[in-house]
Amino acid sequence: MQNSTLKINWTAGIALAACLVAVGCKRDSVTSYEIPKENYTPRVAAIPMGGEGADAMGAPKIRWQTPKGWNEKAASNMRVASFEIPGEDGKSADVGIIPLPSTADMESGTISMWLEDLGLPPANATKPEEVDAAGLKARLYDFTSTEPKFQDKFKKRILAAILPRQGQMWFVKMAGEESVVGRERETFIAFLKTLSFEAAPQIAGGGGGAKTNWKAPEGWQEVNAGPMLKAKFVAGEAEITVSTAGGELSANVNRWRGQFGLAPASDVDIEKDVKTIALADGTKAFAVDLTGTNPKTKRPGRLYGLIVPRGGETWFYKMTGESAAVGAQTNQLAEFAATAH
Amino acid sequence: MHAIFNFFSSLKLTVVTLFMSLVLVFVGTLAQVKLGLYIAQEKYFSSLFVFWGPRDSDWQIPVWPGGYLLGAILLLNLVAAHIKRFEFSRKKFGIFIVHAGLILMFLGQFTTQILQVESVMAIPAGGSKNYSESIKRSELAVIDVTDADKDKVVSIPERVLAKKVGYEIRVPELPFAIKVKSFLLNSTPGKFEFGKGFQFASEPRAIKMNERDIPATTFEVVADGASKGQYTVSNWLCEEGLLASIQRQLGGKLPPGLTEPQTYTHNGRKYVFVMRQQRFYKPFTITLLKFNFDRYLGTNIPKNYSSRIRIQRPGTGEDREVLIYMNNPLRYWGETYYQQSFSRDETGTVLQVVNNPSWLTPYVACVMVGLGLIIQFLMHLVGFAKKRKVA
Repeated sequence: MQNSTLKINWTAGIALAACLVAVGCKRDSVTSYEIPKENYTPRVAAIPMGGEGADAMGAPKIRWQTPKGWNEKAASNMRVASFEIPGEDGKSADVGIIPLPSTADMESGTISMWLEDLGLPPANATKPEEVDAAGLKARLYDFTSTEPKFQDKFKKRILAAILPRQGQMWFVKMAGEESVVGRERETFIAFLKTLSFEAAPQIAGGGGGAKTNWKAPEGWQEVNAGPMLKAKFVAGEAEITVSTAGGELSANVNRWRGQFGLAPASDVDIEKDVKTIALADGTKAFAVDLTGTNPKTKRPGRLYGLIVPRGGETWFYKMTGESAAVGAQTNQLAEFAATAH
Repeated sequence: MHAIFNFFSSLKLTVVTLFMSLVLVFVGTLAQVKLGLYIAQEKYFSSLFVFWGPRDSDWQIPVWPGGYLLGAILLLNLVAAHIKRFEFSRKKFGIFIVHAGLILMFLGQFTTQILQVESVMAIPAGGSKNYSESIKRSELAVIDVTDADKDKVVSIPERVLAKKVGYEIRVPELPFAIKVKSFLLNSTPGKFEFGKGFQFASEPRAIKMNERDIPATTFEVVADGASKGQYTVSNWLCEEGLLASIQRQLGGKLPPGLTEPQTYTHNGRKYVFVMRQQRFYKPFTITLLKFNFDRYLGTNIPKNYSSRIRIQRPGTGEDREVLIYMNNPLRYWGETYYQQSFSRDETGTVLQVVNNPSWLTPYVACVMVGLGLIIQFLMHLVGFAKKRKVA
């Protein structure tokens, strides 16, 4: 009797396990079914280029005029624009433009965060001043800490404009040492007036996009640019390409390093290796100089590139080729980059 | 037969299996650092054996029993020991229920592992969906789009593609074969050439929790013994988010035709090839009426996420609204819909869809174990109290 019970138990157990495994394996077999009619072309909206935050949010492109004495930095994280204002004795201020979705308590929540940052009680929130920004009215807040909150030595001040526009809130914030922010207050208000929005550009549909009247240096010969490029030139053994893209500086430098068979570098190393130069039109550019294996020729080669953040866009001027040929054209590339945008 | 029965009912086997499980859990947990949760889970716990082989070699040997095998042995051991040693009596009724509860828990976990399907349904504001998508697995969908009112889909899961590299896949629903030339479990778009499209390059498998593999495959359509053309498809080319990522890399523009699905016409019928996350279609449609993201006043700290949805099921005429919010999922059509996430602009919702036919077993098993322990305890307590009274 015990044996027969045992036999049934074994058989039932194996049958159950087999059923489960069979059902489980069905997930990995080819299946077929009918569905109501669908569209299989993905909808890809036109996205503006520039800061990472701008394209992620699908926000319109914002343009500005960089005030004198402000150093434009590469856009990063949520910022579509970033500036640094140096002061004396290590004092400084930082300016950033961040678009965020407009929600009921986004403004009050952000102000609470700033007050907390400055060590001020929430009751310190004052009525904002009304200022002009991008042809609209923005609310300007001005808070100063009572304790030394900047480098633990100086008082910290936050001067920020909040600009609601088409379901979004644009936060233009200057934060830094009290005297530097105070000195730059009027410049900041003037900077807000220079802001302007552009409608999101439409996809051009192939080609390199509209090119302006660029003057190529002597000896450069323009050739047919690929779909991802704005322009392409050949200068002796060197090849020059012009393109625009988003992303942080480090990501783009590492992209170039990868193309030349080099391992990715840390942000610290990149900051050390990348030189900041001023172009003829006064624009700051990041110069990258790499030697490695040219992916086209599979031979040792050099990459000299200029990364130029300019009015909400990042421009890439890349020159590759045999080391001496590239070296002979670096000045010409800088001259060209100043005019070609 | 008796020897096998004695082997499976022995206490030594229990001890050895428990020790092996201990080692497996320890090693499998450490492996998550390098492999990530999902790969480690597949390799160590959702497998019969743990395999090992030298790096960059094709062969591997089993070196340790995997989670499935150890679980099955423990279950057999428990059942066999029960049959061999347990005598059913009123006194041991509680213990019997406790053991039955444990067996049910084992079986429940096993069936969950085998049968549970997790997917997500991402719906933009005002949008509707009649399918959910797998989080981790992709499929090659060959879709006959000839008819005006319906599409016929043949879904080839990524695992089938991976196994069939170099071979043909033939299914009765298709008048041609798919010959898989290459399959990349994770890929990145490399060089783009007009007329040829992207050349995808292999990437290491995604191990972070917030990353996933994005496969790409190249195949030939074979009909009447001849190749009718070569196609390269990838999730990169059909998912809006991934296309937007390519678009950003290309400076805001996409090469013309890149977003158009690739097609093949055979005997007057048109077929579309799409590589995408595996889809699970439903006999109903869910429309997102409103997604709400509430924060505590004056802060950015989340308070609640909720989605007001509308379910419309033409087959039954059902049409009703439901509010899904944190810890209050919708249980419908054998599936559970949880509020999982939301779109970046905070207007769209992401619902997690869990289909687990054995979702009730852990609850029943826990009640059985609890009940068994209470019965056993009460029987001892009553017996003890009676003895004390007599004394």
